[in-house]
Amino acid sequence: CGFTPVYGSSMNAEEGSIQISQIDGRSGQILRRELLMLLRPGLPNVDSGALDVTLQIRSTDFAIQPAGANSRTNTTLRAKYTLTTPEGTLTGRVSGFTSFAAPSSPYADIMARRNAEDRAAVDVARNLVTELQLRLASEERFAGEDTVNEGDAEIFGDEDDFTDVGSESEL
Amino acid sequence: QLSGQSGPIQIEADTLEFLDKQSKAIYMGNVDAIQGDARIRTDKLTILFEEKQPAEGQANSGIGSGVGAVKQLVAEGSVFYMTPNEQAKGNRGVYNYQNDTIVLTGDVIVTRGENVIVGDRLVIEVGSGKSTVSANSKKKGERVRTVLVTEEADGEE
Amino acid sequence: AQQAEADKVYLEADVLIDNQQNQEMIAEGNVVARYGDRQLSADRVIYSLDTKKVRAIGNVRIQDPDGTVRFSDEIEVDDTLGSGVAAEFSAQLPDNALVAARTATRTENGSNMLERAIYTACDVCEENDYTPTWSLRARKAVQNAETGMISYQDTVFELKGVPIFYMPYFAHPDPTLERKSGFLFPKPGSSSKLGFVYEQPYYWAISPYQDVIVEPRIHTKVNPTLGLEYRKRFWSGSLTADLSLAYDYEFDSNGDRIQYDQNYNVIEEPENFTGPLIPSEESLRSHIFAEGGFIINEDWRWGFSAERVTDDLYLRRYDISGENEKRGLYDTEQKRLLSQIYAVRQTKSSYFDVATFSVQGLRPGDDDDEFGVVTPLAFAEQNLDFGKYGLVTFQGLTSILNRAEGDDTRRVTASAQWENSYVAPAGLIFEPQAKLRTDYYDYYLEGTGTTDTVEDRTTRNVGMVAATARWPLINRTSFANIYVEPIAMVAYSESSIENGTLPNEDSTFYEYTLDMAFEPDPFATSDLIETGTRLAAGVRSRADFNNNLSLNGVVARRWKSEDDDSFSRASNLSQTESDYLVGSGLSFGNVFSIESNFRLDEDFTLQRTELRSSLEYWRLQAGVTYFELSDDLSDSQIRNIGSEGIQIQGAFDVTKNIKLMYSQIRNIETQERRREAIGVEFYDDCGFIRLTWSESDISDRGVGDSGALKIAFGLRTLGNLAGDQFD
Repeated sequence: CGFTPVYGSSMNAEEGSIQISQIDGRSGQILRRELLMLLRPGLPNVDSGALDVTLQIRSTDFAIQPAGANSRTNTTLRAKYTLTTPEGTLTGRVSGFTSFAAPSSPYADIMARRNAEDRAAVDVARNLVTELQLRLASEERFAGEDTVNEGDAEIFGDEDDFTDVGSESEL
Repeated sequence: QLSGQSGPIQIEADTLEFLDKQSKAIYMGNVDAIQGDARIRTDKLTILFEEKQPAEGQANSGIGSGVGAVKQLVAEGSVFYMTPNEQAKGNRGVYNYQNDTIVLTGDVIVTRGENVIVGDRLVIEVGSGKSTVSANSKKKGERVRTVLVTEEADGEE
Repeated sequence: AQQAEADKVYLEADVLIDNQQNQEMIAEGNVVARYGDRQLSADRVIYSLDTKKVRAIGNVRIQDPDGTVRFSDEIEVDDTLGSGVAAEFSAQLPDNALVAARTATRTENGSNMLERAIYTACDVCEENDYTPTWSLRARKAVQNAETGMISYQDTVFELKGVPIFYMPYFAHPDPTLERKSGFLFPKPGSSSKLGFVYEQPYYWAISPYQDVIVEPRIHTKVNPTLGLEYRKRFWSGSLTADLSLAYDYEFDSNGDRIQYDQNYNVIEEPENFTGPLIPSEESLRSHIFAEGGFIINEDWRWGFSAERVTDDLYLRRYDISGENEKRGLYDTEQKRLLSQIYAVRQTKSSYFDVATFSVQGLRPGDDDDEFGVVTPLAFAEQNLDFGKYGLVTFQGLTSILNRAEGDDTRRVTASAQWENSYVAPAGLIFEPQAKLRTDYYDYYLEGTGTTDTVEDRTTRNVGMVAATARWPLINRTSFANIYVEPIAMVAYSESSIENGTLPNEDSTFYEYTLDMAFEPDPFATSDLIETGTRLAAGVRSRADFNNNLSLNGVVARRWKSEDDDSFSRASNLSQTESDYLVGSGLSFGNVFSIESNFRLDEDFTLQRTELRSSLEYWRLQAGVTYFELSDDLSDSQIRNIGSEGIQIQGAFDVTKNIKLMYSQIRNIETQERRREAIGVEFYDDCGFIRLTWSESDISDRGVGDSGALKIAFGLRTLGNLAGDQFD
């Protein structure tokens, strides 16, 4: 029915051919480790490549409890990537999402937030590799300007905006 | 006259050709004409005289005898007009006695002390000491360009 | 053009008349004069050699080195074309603000004194018949080059040509200069708690790398406050600190003094309270929000944050913003203040961070002693990539939590993991994994009614083996590229100590969700662990259509060898069969996107719904976020106060100069609004005015549920004025 395996012979992916540079921040380290595993078999139609990723994070508190405390937090990790290969470069943006119920004890909440960043990084890793496989498998992979799907448009509103991961305070 | 003062004009040149019929005298070859403190140096200087109606019966005889006063001086080649505080240079210079003006044309450069004016046509009214430099309106973009030196700027800029 | 030296005036004209008698040079016919890099052009220029004055007549235009262009009918300046007097003067400032005046005198040092002047930063163009959106008209205006200020006397502020208000004296920094000490725009506002508010900030540029904004603020209903915003940049980093001081009693949402009863809780309606009332006394109250970040070297950096307040509702009472911002490595939830010191070292394949922090709770019933101080909280990871022999990862972490009252829990964890990835025939990917982890616990659990105090030191060892198989497939058709990836994971682990006996500080509300669906060990750094055999299977898919539409979908489920009641029902890991986890997404370029994930139990009734969508089309921008927890999930461990909520935001451009805005965060179950705001903004390229009315149903100990009007307006080059969020 037309489906061919990404790592079948026709896609000539090179094992261990993708170098991944440092990704700042704790969730960057976890994303890099996940990518090291997911990209081990290489990528279709690419015999060598270098992947650069920068991360931004946005956590939105659903503060809807009477005293203004939040009861749920959505965490979105947004990754901007650039894959440079001898044939051309691909740039784009993928995001990973997770949400958690905010525990009342502050330590548990801080740990839940830290854990949510790591989980969102795992989500980003899988989505990123899927997008790379999809784009590299199609013929016009390097032709034309790639359409970066923004995913979530920047909207008016006082929800906290994306901050860069790795440079903790925005000084 | 060439300068503010009147008085005789001394002219030196390599050769002088005198054409009575056309009441014209042509000096050729590094011509140097001096009157008072003004001086013209040029390659060729043509002096046009007024026709002098010969008094009845008196034939023209001898050089210059048949000509009246100087009507016009025409200097051609690299013409220099120099006064103590001003030097002007041009390709062609014409001095008219009636309106006492000198007109220098063609790549005119006037220098006064350190001020330099470049233009296409210079008209000097010798009597009033007023000189006007203008650009050749036919050639587009041709302008009069001047560099004036202000007093030594007292370091304020 | 030829660059004239400093002391030469370079002149160009059609005609030059040199009049020796009156020592004048007259240039005529589009005259251009250049002195240094200042240029003057006019119809006629008269340069008098003895007075060194230059008079220019007929559409005079002077261009200054900084780009300012001055126009005039007639002007007389010195021979540096600098100082002098001009009639019908106007000047185009570098960032195309415009100053015009009847007469203008310019002094040696470049200061301008204008008579009957008008200043605006708006375009003066024909279609609005030359009336700028706003303008300042003054009898006299002085642009002082030394102080860098433009000051006006008898000024009228006009909006669209209509006089709005009069100011005897007004000054603002010359827009062309960067950092000037001086008064910033005042911040007026009104609030039911504070009455009318007037704040006059003063900006003081202490030094090129340091400045402070001093913000005294007076209110009609309560005592004044003093705010300070300090910033300093160091060679290796920078620091900012916001603090404020007030001397007053505690007051409620309409500014009246709070009354307490004996056991110190707030009496909402003191009038009909019979018992003895204790009024809150006046005392010095303050807050500090500070943060700093510094780079030590290529790998190391450190930082700190300090968030402290004297009483829980201080920030809410004086409407001080900035409570929930991230100021360092860690951030926390609403109504909690976090002070931390941290250090981070990161290289390409290793990461280490260590931090210590303490939390101040602002919620009713928060007792800081119960929160404890974390010393230290560290995390370290090192990857060793052995190519085709696999990837080894060492992880280490400490979590030391000492509480003045309540449990003390100290844990040190170390783990080593090997994983590899093989491409089997037909493109199947096989990922085996093995992991060893040991936890050293030293804890003191205080006895409660049912349990007695436990104090113990113990070590827990956990071993795990796992394997994941996934088969990524692609189908390229003419209209779309379709990607499908079936995944299956099996894992087995043994632990020397079962869940439930050791303290659980960090995973009280853990929930198994889509992002961790296929992870063999979702608890890598947590107190909880998973034991026995478990299996997870699912399919990930995505389709990119060539008209910019993209769809994606995931479904997953997890099975376990036996039930584990150390997990709650909400965690989705308590039964042998987990609920189904379904995720789906649709996006159409940047115009529209919607992502959702669901959790369905075995007979497919919705247990959890999450929805995020955004739209940006034509003149409308909108975003909705929604979530809902089913009753049996929220009944159990997760508090049921927040089981259904929605956040809506929208902006609509009525015209290219008018924008309507709306936003609301709502607890659907209790029909309470965290905040609802509606706003309108009038703007063009030289200014904006925005009116926002917002209401909130949140009330906390007498302070809350009030409406607030916020006015913000800004004039380009003169600065913005945004009243804080007063409510």
